[in-house]
Amino acid sequence: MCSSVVGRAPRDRSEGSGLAVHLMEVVEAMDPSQLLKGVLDLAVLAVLRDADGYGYDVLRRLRAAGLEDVADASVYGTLRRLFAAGALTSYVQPSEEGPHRKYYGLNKTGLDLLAQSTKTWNHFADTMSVLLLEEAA
Amino acid sequence: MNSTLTGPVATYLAQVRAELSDLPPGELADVLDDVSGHLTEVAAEFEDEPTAASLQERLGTPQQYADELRTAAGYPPRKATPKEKTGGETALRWGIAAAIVGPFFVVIGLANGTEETLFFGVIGLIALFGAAYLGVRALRGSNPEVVLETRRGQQAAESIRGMLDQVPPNVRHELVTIGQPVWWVARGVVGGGAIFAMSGASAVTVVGALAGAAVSVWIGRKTQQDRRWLWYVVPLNVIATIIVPIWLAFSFVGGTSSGVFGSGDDYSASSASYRESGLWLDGNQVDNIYPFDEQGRQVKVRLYDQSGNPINLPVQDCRINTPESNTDSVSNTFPQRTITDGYGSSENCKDSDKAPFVPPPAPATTPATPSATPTPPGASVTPGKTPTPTPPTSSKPGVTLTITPTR
Repeated sequence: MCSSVVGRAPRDRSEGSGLAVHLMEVVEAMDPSQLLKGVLDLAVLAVLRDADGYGYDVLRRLRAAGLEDVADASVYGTLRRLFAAGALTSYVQPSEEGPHRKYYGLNKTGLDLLAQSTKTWNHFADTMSVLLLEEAA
Repeated sequence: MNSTLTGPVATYLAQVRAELSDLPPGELADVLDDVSGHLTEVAAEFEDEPTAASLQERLGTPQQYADELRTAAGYPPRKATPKEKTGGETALRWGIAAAIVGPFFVVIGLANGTEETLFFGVIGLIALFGAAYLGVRALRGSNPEVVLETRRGQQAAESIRGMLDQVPPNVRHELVTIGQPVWWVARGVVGGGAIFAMSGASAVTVVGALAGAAVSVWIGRKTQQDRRWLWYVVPLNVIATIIVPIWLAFSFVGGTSSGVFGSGDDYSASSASYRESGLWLDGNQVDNIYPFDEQGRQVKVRLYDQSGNPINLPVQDCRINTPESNTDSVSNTFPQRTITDGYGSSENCKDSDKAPFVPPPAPATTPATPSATPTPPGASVTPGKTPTPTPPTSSKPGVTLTITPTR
């Protein structure tokens, strides 16, 4: 996708400003928060594989794993969607510090989804790595 | 769950809720449960209670937050939901109308004379209850909190929260626990008292005030349970916040020693049934005064009250027939000449200051307790002598004169 944009831009737009706009789009598309959008499901499933967690807890684990740019609301939205899709279980547990917390955990569907998504990701990442290595060479 | 949130955090949650109000109720409740938990955790990141600005810096605007949530959760894009929106907005609009128009007419009524009080008071109350009823009906059975989800409701709630945040928490607590019951009783006493004071009897006013206090406390409790009562209670509170200070000012300026209820009578006296000008004796209007000296001879006098104010009555002699005459002219010289013949005619008019009755013989031996009838003969007032402007003898015991200065 990225290469097509880069390749098309000089042909379609002769003016410098048009090129600049397209370059900005490419740079933005490579922004970590944009890249995250596609793989947030996978990231959330991954942190829930080790242990069940409530929203803020999942958020913290993602940050600790190095995904600093993840948006809070996106994580909560992703949890809702995965739950609605039947990939997660949900239960409420009281907490000492404050209100009850809603925990999410992987069920069979979630585990299957995680395995499948991991495969897809690995394939994609390998392909990209090879591509980038070839380009550099 | 949401009840644990306060201040700007609660506002933020309400704004997110408003942005997501098109979701199905069950899903909305679930996701807001999550958001509420999230905001609790985020609030704990701050040392003090976060401000609206610091929350936005951390999470983005409520709109951005809701959009991120919506996209990630795969909810459909926001649809315009005019029905639900107008419900809250219409209800809010009617509520505001009730709180402005009703009190406006009632205050106009109170600022005017007796009949206007009743007329505008009734109009104001009809407008108030009518608008309040339409407001409650506009809710169509949904939670009254929907008005807080409208843009105007949000702004109002935010500014009120901002003001409340200025008040230290312990003072806030005191205001609610002590100030609220005191206010309930005060508005009930004034409201009930004012209505029954129109009857004029202070005993009735006291009973009315006590009954008003009881009703007011009951209404207050009821409103805590069912917030739809707010549509009626807030406008009535507006009226009360206008009347209570006036009432207090009146009892202060009136300076009577009998406290609120005594001065309440003064208040009603000046605003209601006794407002007519003129001279009154035991409930009957006095049009003229025929003074007689102690020998039973009619005399001409000028009358003054205890403060040296002339006791004026409108002139009623032939001058009122002339077109150029000022019909508002008054005189404190008695007896006044009254028209005996030729009413309405400036040429053939005749007037007289002769008493239209034969003075009854005065009691001979009771000079210490004169009655309201002419004083007995035997004292030394020279006939025809004009009295000096000193307080007249009309304030002796046995005589009840109600005098209101002519306006």
